[in-house]
Amino acid sequence: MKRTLLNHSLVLLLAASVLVPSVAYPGGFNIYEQGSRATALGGAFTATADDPSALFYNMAGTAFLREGWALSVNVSPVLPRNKFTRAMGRTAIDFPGDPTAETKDAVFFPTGIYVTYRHDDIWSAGFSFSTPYGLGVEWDNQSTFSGRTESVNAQIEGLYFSPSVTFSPWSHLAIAGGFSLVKTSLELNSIRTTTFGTDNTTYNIADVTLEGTSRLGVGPNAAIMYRPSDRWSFGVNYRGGVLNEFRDDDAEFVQRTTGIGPVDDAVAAELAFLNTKSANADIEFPAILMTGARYEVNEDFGLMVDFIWFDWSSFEEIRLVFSDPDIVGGDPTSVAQVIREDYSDGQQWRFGAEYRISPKLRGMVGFAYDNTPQPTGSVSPLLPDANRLDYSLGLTWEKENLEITAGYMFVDFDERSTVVDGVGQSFEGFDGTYTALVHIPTIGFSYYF
Amino acid sequence: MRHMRIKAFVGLVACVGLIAGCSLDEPATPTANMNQLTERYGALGNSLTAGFMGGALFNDGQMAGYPYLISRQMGIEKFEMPLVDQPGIGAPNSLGIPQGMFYVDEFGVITTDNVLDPVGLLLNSLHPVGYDNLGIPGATTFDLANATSAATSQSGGNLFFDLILRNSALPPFNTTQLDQMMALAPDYLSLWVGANDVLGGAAGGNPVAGVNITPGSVWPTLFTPILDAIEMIPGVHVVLGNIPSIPSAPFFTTIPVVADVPGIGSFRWAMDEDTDDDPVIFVLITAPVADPAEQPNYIAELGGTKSLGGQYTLTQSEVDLLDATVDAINSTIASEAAARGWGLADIHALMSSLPNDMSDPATFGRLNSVFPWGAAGQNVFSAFSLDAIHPSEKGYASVANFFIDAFNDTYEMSIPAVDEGAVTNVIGFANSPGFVPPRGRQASAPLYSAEGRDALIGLVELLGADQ
Repeated sequence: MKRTLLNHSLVLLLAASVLVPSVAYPGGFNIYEQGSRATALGGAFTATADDPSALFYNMAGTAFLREGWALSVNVSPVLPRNKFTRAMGRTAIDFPGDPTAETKDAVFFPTGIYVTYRHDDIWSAGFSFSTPYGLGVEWDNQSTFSGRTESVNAQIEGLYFSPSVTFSPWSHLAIAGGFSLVKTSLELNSIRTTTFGTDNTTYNIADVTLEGTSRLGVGPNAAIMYRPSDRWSFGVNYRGGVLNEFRDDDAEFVQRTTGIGPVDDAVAAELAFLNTKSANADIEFPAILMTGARYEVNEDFGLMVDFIWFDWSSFEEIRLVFSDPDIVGGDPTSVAQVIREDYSDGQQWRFGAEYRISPKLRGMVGFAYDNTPQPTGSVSPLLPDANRLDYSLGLTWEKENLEITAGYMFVDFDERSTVVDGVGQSFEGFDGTYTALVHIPTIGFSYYF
Repeated sequence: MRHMRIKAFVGLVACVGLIAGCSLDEPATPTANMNQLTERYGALGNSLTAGFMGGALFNDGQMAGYPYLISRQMGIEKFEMPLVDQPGIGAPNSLGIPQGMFYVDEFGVITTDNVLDPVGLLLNSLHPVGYDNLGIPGATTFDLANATSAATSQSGGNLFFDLILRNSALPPFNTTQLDQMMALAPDYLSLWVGANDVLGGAAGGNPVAGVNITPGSVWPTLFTPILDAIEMIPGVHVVLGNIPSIPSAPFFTTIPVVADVPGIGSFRWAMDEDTDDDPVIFVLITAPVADPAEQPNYIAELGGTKSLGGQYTLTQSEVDLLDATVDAINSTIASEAAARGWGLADIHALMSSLPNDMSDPATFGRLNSVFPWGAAGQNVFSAFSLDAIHPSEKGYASVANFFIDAFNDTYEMSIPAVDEGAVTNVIGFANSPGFVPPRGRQASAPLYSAEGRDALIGLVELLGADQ
């Protein structure tokens, strides 16, 4: 990608290729840690859902909460760390710069706020704010990072507001329905380069930023909770896909001068043209189907297992259009770029166990296997996803109307290389190996009024 | 009991803490000398590389050209070409107006049309970097490393340089074919150049070393610097194509020197350059006698008073000069390929092996049934297109396989061959409005319309840059 001369279509196309792929990807883009108890249980919470965070994990669980109002606030700071080593060979020629890189230290704060109201044995309702899709990957030493043309920083956050109603015709069964209203913000940054001179020296020529907020998206939700006995509980929760439409959002190109007259002049002219353009894109957050079972071994000890399915296979490509919104009838010089993604559906297995240590204290542990839906070809600095193992634990302390949960999850990513049997697979030709881990401490407060 | 539970939980905390305490590993450093999804194949050359067919450059011909076929067989997803919409861009006629592709009209005549806005036919002129196919019709070996525009091309006005190099819009605004290919830094490169260093003089009927053909002794000084530059591309895999024997094209061989007049006898055309010491060997397809109505005028025994000028014939000494030049060029190509460890596609052998006998429909040959006096064959089996110089779909497929064989043999690759049996010649026939492809049709009528002949002569001029 770096072997480029500059003209406007070039920059548009390259900008598109850089800006797009980050916006929708795999398990790593989904943040399942929307409740502290669920996080401590490895996310295996669909058949449990016994606090207000049920509004995310299984809305029908609200039928089994205490009567009256309840409020739950859950914060699970995500501390990711990524490392990258560029492949030797062709990638080193095409993508000059530092052969290794790390992400900056960062903390992100996925937050789940849940309000429930159980009216009686039959009806309950609730609404929630949650952030089930989001991401931040910001690389250090950006000006010399070899993957700077792909991405130096990607920040995405989808904010979900989800009201729901639960109907429980029998004491052991509840069904729920609702919807989500979604606003998504994103910021994507990369650096454009060009080569010049007989020795093909690479120059950074522009900072590219795409910032925007989507139109209001809507997605359906539905859930079932079935508790046939004191020992068994089963749950199914469906959260529909949401289309995020970004329209006329800011695409900004800021020149970095090289000191070489012809290059700077050409870049200036082209960026002036580009800066008349706005970015448009459609990005879909995939549907999620959660299924789970819980078994009470005895009155103090419960085991949980969940299988989660993500509809990532619908994510085959992204079409990004740069155009001038002020041109009536459409901008004839708009440029579209289609980015190949080719995702497959994602699956997660989640396991949890819960001990009642004392009447007021419960201990929880969890484990999860998260199978990445991201094909090797689209692994990039935007999101280097991989299969991962989650290890978690936590404590819930309760006294009268208050529950406090503190927990911790450690996410261990498999090392993932885009080089297979000596052949690079990266769709963009940027081959290398990625490692990552994430720490997620979590704390949640629930209060029953 | 409670204490046991607490201890157990503390133990779990310790386990998770141990796991979390592991530091983030440094990623391994893989080596990937190729990326099958982003591999780049580049093609450098002239009209033969551009996919020029039937007198013009146009999308169907470009897609049938050997570079595109090779890229497909390699599995390379992106192979950018300067695609030209139909009717294509051909050589200018005598009025200077570019002509479109040749096609057989409803009367069975090869004709062409004016193209008033050739630039408007370009389909991807905004491609942000040089094209992967950098074959430029009319390009000579000198042009490859020196021409940046029509004005600086060896012919002094070859529009294709402006259209394909795009130096008016593509920074740094002064690049040659070679420069643009160097910037692309392909993983695989085919270079097939040299034909125009000889062809122009040959097609013009008066080849003169140092005037309209490049002397074989001079050509290496133009060629080897190009190879030296290509060698600087890291990891590049190169196959060189040698040039065909010039008289192997139907342009030179279709019209016999002796005319058979049914029921009367055989007569040698009246020809200016035909002497006992240096007899005419070939009559070019541009000769007026290609038109049956003109033929009696060139047979003295039948009262004809006209004589074919030297621009329509090649004598023995001229053919000897052409052969010697081609041999010298091919000798250089072969020795350079061997010295650099590169592959060699022996196109000379391919073209020389083409049969004139079209009786075997299982093979194909150089003749084309629509040319006058062509053997009883079908166009679908011809290796040449309607301009009688450039290959047909089948011809290009065969050329592609020669290059593919060379890549495979030289670099231990396993690029699958093009299925030549599945390739059919339809361009120029299927594209003609209201005309059914003349499978098995025998030639018996004038073949080139006046417009077609004018364009054919223009094509000769396009290829005939003084050296």
